[in-house]
Amino acid sequence: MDIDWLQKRFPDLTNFVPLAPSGQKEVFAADHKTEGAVVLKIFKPGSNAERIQREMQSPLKMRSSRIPTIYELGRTDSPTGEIVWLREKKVEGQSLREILKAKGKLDEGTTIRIGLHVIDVLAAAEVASVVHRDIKPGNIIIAMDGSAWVIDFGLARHLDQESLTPTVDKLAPCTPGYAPVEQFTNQKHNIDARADLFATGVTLYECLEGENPFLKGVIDWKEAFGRVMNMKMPRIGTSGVSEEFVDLVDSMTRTKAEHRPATAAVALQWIREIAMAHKII
Amino acid sequence: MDFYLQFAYQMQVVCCDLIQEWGGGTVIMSPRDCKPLGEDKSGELEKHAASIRVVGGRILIDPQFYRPESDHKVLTSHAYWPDKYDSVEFWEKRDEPDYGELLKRLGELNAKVEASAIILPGTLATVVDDEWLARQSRMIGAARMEYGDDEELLATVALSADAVRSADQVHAILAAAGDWRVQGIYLICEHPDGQYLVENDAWIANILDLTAGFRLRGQSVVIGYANQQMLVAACASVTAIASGSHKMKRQFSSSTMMEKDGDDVMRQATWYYCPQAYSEFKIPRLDSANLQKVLGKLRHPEDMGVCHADVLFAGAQPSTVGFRHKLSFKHYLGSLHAQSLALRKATFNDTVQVYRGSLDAAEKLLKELQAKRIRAEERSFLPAVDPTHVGVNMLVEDRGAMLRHVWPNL
Repeated sequence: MDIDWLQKRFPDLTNFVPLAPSGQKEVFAADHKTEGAVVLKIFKPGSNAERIQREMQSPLKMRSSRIPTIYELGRTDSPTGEIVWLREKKVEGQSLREILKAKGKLDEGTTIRIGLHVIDVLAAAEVASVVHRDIKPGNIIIAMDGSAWVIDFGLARHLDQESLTPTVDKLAPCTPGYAPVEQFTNQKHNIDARADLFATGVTLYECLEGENPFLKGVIDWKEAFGRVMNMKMPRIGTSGVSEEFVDLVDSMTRTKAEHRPATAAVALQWIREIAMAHKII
Repeated sequence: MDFYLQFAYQMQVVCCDLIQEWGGGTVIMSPRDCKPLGEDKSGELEKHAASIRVVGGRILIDPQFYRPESDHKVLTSHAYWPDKYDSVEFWEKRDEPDYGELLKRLGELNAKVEASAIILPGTLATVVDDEWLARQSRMIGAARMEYGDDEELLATVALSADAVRSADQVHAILAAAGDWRVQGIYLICEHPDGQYLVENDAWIANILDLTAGFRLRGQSVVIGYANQQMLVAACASVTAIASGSHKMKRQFSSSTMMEKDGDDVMRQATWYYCPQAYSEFKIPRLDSANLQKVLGKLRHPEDMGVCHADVLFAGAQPSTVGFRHKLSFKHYLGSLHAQSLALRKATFNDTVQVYRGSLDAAEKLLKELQAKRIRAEERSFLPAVDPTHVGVNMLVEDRGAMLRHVWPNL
């Protein structure tokens, strides 16, 4: 999308900076006259309108302070056709992916804090019947104050609405290496908060161990799927990590959903206890 | 972990004696073994239940609805059993299920015996499929309507050996059971290949998985028709196991609900249960042990507080001391009761560690005895040691983390 055109169409915004594109949208950081730092998402013409709507609905349905606030959304004509746009709060910070790339791994306290904040979002999503379906380091922003935010509800599934993925599809939208078996094999009736708990568990494992065993050295996504299906996530081996936290990550990353915590609320209660024991809250 | 008595034919006195000895306990009544209302208007089940209550026992009734086509005369003559029973019509009438009369009469029977909870009727699942799951849901829904929200209900989950061996089918139950508004599960599992002590790893692992799955949701689980092998369920935090005197009360077979298989004549040999070996020995084998001066190794630990078999170890040749069925049953059930109470520890890890240790000790003892040609034959735990170990290993692997965390609250 041409920055000059954006400037004209959104006169309240300045300092457009392109961010990494995501799926069917282009993303820009910008400054708003009154709202400060914002993110402008431009959905490409011809994008799946239903999915756009679901992405916008998710944060609106959820009561969570750890997802960016949506300020405004609308439709407009553009040089490439009609587009849908969305303006939301920009969380100032770095993605967890960038941090892990720079640091390799994180200490237990930092990881517990991230887990606490992410699972807090999952619990709010659970109440709103929303499954994020794309929790991964790239979709977690660590703000300047160390708090974690969950972004990008582009793959969100609304359990109280018809699924957008055709039942006959053998593969459902996901990120290989983070999505659990029931998600990438499109077992719709088995999708609930436990799918996000799996992805969060893999992410927390990666924070502590510095690698994702489902992705390490894989040749292609098929190999990653195969590992998630057939390989047991190893227990965290880094010394000094509390057994309780190791157990939580272990239970969240079980291959079968039935063996994970039954709900996000259960996992939240568990990590709260761990955070309290570590004097994080 | 508690231990319940599974009522059996002519076991009224044994039940009362044991309940008195234990200072309380629960007996699961068996309609197939108690004649219903006769001319004196009082059925055996009510009479037996009353005498059990008098000595401090609590009562549950197993409705034994496992086989829709059951023709067992005593079982089907109970008032709650539908008169015009047609399996398809009765179970599959989706809009207007005919459970009302059945549940009403079953409720009356439970009320008469002052049952502590109501076990709901449930058919044996040869395969856990949508149809069986829907039937379960309809029965539970109808029962909740009939009995109200406050009544404690246990859903019967009765499974064929093949169903138990299938992890997918076991998980299908857990997935569907999220909507079951019951406080507990009465779990009945057929044994594969007619084995008394089961040598199938998946069978054991899946029972533990199922039990733990329900327990982690806050529901109680009572495993019925159990023998000593189900003591392993302590590792899955089972609420109770139930066992009885006769073999058919320790190894569920739905065929016992049929008339042709309903022969209850005591034709079995007398067995002595050696708790530390999880195995049973015929009395002549004890004679052999006596002869070879190793009888003491078979003696039940004194600190178990079970004395019904003391006579076998008083110095005389075991086969001459009059250790008959009644004492054998009391010793078996008393030992299982003591073992059930002792197996659960303060933490999951401790429980598993102690149980694994007991399996290893049993294996060592059985091998020692075997070297002296003292074998427990078909009731030897030796072939079941490894499969039982594997079952525990799978439980630790799949649910250990969760169980460790919530154990104190289970």
